[in-house]
Amino acid sequence: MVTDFQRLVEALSGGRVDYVVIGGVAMVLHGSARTTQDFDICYERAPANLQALAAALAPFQPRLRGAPGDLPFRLDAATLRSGLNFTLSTDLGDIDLLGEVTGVGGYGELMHEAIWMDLYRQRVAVMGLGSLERAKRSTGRLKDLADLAEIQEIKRRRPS
Amino acid sequence: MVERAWTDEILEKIPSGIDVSQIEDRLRLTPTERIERMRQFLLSLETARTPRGHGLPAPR
Repeated sequence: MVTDFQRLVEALSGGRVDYVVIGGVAMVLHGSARTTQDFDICYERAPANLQALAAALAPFQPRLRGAPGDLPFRLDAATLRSGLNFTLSTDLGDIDLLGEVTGVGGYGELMHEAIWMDLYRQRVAVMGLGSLERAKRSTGRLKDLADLAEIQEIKRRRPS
Repeated sequence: MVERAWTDEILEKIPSGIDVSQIEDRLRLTPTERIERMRQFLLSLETARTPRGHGLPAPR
């Protein structure tokens, strides 16, 4: 199944969730030619936002990715408050909810460098290239080297 | 003085292999078009992976 990015964005933004698009989709939004199936976001952890996030995803049956189908799981504000990062599957595709991004920080830190973009007629905050670069460097994974090289090429070519 | 990361040394010594024409192509699109371009590619891959996508008979 290919992730329905449009409906995920509409659900989150329509539900007035405070979030920043991060990861591979953020790379693509900045101009990367890579592909990804995951929709990754960093969410703000204020109680009202946890409720808004859980309510926005509820119609799409969020469940723990890779967990047995009969494992009891309910995504609500209490669940979000007691955890930090969640890898979920939904009827619209996979979504990762991160409370913090390694090497950068939480929603507040990400918003310092976030770029606002029009995506599916919604105004969406997208992780900035500088933050993406720091996150990729901090992971130390070889596969992130390709992303780092691509970030450098995008920086050279994007309009100032 | 900024400390150089090990990743910087690798990036300098090994060609990245990145097709910059693809980046330039993407930068001409709107953000929504960039995501939709990727999604269409993923959909075509998914179609190709199915037996009918290969023109093969469906498994019994």
